[in-house]
Amino acid sequence: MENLGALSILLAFCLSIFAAGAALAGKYGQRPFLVVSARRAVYSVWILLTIASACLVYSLMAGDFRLAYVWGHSNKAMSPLYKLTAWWGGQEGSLLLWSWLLASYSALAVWTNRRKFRAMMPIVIAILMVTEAFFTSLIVFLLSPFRVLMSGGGIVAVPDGHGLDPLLQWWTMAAHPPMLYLGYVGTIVPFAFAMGSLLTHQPGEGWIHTVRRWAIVNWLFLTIGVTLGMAWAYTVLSWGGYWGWDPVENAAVLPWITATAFLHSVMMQEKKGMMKVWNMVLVSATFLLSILGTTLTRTGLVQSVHAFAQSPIKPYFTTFLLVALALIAFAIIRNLPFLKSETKLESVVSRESSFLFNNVILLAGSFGILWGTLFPVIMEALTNEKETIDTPYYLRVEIPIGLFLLFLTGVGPLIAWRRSSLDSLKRAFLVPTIIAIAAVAALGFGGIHHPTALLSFGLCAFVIATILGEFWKGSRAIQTKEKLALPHAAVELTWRNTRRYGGYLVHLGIVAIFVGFTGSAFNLHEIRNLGLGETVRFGHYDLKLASVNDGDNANYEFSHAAVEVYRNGKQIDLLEPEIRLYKSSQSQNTLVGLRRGLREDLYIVYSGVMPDGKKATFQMYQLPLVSWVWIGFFVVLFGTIICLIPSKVRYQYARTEVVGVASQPATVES
Amino acid sequence: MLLASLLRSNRRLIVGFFLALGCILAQDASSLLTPAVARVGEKLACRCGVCRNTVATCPMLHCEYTEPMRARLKKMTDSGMSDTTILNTIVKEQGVVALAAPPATGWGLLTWIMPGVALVLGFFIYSWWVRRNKQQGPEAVSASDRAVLDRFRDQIESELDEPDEISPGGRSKPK
Repeated sequence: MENLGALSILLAFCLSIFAAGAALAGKYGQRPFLVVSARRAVYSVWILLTIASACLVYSLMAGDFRLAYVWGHSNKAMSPLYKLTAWWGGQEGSLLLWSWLLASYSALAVWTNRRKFRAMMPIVIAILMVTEAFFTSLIVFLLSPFRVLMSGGGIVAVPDGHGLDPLLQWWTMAAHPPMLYLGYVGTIVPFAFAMGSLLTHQPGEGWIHTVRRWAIVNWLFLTIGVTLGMAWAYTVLSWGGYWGWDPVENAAVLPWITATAFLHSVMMQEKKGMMKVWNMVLVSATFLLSILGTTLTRTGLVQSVHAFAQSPIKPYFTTFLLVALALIAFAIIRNLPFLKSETKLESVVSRESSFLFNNVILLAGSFGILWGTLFPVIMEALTNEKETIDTPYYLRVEIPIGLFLLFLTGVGPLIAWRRSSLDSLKRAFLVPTIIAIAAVAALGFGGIHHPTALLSFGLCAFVIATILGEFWKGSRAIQTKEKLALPHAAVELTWRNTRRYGGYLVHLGIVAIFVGFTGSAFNLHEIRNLGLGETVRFGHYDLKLASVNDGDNANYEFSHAAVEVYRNGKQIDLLEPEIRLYKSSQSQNTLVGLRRGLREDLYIVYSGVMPDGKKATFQMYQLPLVSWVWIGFFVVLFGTIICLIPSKVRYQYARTEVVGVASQPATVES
Repeated sequence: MLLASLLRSNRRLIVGFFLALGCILAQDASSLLTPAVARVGEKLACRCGVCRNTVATCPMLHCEYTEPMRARLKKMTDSGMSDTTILNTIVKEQGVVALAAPPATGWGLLTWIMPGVALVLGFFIYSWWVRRNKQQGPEAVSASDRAVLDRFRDQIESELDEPDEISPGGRSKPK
């Protein structure tokens, strides 16, 4: 099995080099058969990497402990789900998953565009396959997942494996890495198409329609990946939070931010033929940040609890990143004339202008995070002195930027395309502003006096008012014209322009997430000791320790507490926090006792029985509004899916003025 | 080897040890975080290597860095040392790595100014783009003409806000 797997990876590496070379030779040497051959090589790479992946998964499932990877990341006691999770639980396996996902995306992109973009596709294939060759080279030459345990020249089988890190044995962590990788890897496809269009000077914006869907799907995967990571941190790490500004967490959110900026600004290119250089920079930045994220996670470049250990691949990743950066910069600068805008801006107070402004702020936020993540590394290299940048820096830099972005989310729909007059702006802003002020006043009277929280809640109210106003105006117009009930009219409105109204739903979800973030300003945390049957008051609750039990199973030993939760003298819940000690790895883990609510979460961590055996220690957290983060995520998910549904009607966007290259009006098939 | 076999045969003992240790530390941790300790601790990084919190905000019960540091800070604040003296003492021992964020002096200043520089650069790009892509404005018109023009522009905008619908045959539907 290990020979088949290793041979498949080796052949995939060779074929990806062939595919890249044949695609370029076919294009520039005018030999179409080579391009066809390159296309088939792409499919073959996918088949080979699927075989290699199947070999590794089979070895994990069967418990083939002759393989060092299987021994290091699984054991007999693990359930099949976590044996599968072990595929990406270690460095070698996760690189194989990366390569396989890239091969899958490549095969899909090449297959779905096999009769389109004939001039551009060879470049697309070359970019995809060069990246594939890089990743497969790592698992061929440096970190093979099929390495066997050797002893005195013979292969050794050991009775059981070391097991997967207990922190990874959770369903959220089983799903988080593949989702994040789907997002990371997927950024390569829009990037390859963008570069292909640039290098072959594609006329029109046809390639954008292809890329836009890929970009939305990738963005969705990144969103799911990041949120699953947050959910895992919240329920597994037991520190009462979901985001810790760890370098690896930051690395996951960086391409998400640039991808968000790209999804906004690409509309400008699609509708107006503007911001072409900007879009090229954004799509490239998203790709490079995905590679950077992978570099940070895999190479030990930065100190992180999430990162894999130091490994020999750091110089290779760094070189790949720098070479890619240089080539991209060269390609963009060399082709600047091709990226000239087709239309002119009519007014600074216009949606076109606001799109760039929102992009600038998004990128500033992204840079703030990138700088905080890499500054210690840069400083250590320059001054040989270690620096620390922790949560206080990020809060100071990112909170103002985040709030300003929230404001712009509300402003965007209020500004018309091309130009807005002062009168129309006054009319558009009046109601949302009144609602925002009323919300702040009501909260202030209700006892909330935290200035930043009040500002955030006020802005949330402002954005909700603008979005609901858009739905209201459109739905009322349809209701009047077509005599439909208002909810039916709202559905009809959304279906007629899924991108626009799906986008508004995504914004609503983001607002809900901001509401959740703002709740952290009011967190409560206490450490309390409780005797059996004893009750303590914490926040809005009375908590009574009902029982403490110990036990074990094949995988771990545990100590389990039962805490009754009372409110106004009535029992409303029973929380059961637990501590586990995993037998094979001898590592400890905790299960949080969690009562979720729209208003707040009650979050209890059991820390064990005190030495006198009379009391047990608990960390208690009252975390307001956290559930809105998860609700917001589901709204974002729903809105994004709406965006991907084709609109009921096709739209034609008239260009007001065309200069330079003549182009057809952009027709969009949503 | 002996230690390994002892560990294997006494798992329950180990669990008990960790739990008891946690509880002892928990007792200490809850009583150590006085307002003075929290004030100084807010400026010091928790260097346990797991979280990214400060000594004041680290919620980890078994934190091997924060809890001894809180105990030390309590001693120092109780003895009347000023916040600056305490921070200087710790930085002298451990270097600036002990601080939650670099000081706004020397190289550390770069930490704080670079996001601002990025923002200013962004605004510069924005204003450059606007100037470069802006159409030449129309000739000056009187205030009353401007009001009429704005009214018509608003009407045009409201009508053009939605793109033209295309019928299945491909021709634009008249509004």
